[in-house]
Amino acid sequence: MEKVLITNALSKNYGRLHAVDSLDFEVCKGEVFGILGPNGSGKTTTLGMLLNVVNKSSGHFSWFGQSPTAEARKRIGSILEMPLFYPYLSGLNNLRIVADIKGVAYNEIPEVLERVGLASRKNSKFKTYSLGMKQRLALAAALLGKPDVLILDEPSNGLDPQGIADIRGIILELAAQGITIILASHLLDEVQKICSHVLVLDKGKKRYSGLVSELLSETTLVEVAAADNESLFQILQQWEGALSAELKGQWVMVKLKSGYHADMLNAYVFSKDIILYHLAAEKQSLEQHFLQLLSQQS
Amino acid sequence: MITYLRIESRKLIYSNTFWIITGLHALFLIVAITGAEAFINKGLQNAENSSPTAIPLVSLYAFPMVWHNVAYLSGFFKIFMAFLVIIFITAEFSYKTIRQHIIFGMGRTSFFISKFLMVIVIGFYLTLLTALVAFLLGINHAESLDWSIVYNKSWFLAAYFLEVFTFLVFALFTALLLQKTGLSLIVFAAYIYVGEPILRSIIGDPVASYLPAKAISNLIVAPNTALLELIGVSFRESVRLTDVLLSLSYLVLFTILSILLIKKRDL
Repeated sequence: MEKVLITNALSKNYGRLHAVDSLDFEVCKGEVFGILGPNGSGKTTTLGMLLNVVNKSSGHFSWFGQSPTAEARKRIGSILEMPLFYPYLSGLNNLRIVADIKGVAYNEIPEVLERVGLASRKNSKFKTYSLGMKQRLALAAALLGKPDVLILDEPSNGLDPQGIADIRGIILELAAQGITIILASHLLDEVQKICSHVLVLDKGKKRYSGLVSELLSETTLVEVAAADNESLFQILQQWEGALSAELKGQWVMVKLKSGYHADMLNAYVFSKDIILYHLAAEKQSLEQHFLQLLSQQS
Repeated sequence: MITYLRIESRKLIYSNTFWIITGLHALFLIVAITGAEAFINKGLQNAENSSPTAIPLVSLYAFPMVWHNVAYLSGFFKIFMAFLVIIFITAEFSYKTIRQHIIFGMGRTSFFISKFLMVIVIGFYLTLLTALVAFLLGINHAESLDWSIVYNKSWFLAAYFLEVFTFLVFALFTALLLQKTGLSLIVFAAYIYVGEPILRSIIGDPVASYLPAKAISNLIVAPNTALLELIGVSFRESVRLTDVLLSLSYLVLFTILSILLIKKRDL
């Protein structure tokens, strides 16, 4: 799989504060990649570094297998935070400036305006637009030049439900066309609905990176105990049904792969001549997973 | 390069602020320079009435001295265009559009170059305007046209270009350094009109004349007038090479500092 983005120990310090702490991740072509984390977890700073508006403190990253350059950024469409344009210029004139920067012909502008539904208001000044329209103009600017990658930071911030549905619809449509999408959000629900892969950030550190389905699949957490917890733990680690096993105090905590159940675990350990005296199974909800990830302190 | 100019000019021509400042500048400049001779001579006539000796009237618009006179007077109005530069550079920070430029794929240095080109264009415009005013006033006041005399001393325009260009790049640097519109305007004006004069009086010559505002204004000093000659004061009527080199040094210094600021900062 072609790697679109690779980061290597990417870090940003503001004085003593580690806003982004030694981040490693990869995004492959065609993925819808979510960066999930609470406010202040370093999502926007990370995107800022990847787009060269924030200078990195240390580490490396590469776009399209090359060191980052302005030319590489022309292949990336981005919407960071608020839509930023010249308030006294019309939507059309703002897009002409963007087209000039990206080196795109003006005749591509009507197409993107049509796509985001702003064609009828293209001659109105940007300052007269509603927030939803401003967001759509930002999306139009990002889409100019047919980018290979689209970066979105909190795309549904401040939008009404219809606006959110519209923008998600457009994102999914683009993803279906094979455009790689990187989306930062503090909303689990949003990442769950749109993304295939996710990076969970907390205080600038990577907490999880992988498939959304794996993060969010409703797993069963089983708490077991036997006379000899140490060998119970070792046996369960080798069990094919265990996603992970952990020795925690007087219990062994086992996360089951989907399709496995507590009774199968019981049968397995019994076949290994261990008899449980405690077994408690608990279904974990999505939110619990997320919150649990965020509460794990390093 | 054409693209950069197209980007920058689009930001300017749709802006009311741009037209108001440029219009006011042109208006004040033309009115003040056209009226200057009559104003000075009126003062001289009043003085003559209470003076035992005859005071000769001045003629500001005769070729070739008109180039020097108009270039000197025009220099007073360059602050308008410095304000224009500051307003349009700091706007990129307050609208955060500088960030957008980089995100859309403009290099940080390219962003600076596009602003620098705009400053050059404004410098050319100012020089052209000054040349036009000087030429028309000269033609209007000349009894006969001897082209060798007309062209004589028109090189003051080159000095004028260097003067406004260096001044505007100083404004550009101030705007990039401070980023806030109001703050940059106040600090820049306060430095030029208050800060540096006080500083100069404290440190005294010869070091004082090496400070930027003074170095820039030293390019074209006050022209001789008959009156001043009468009271025995004489100013030089040429541009000194040392002043040109000093201005060029400031030009290079402000340019390098500006590029460093854009490269090193988080936007």
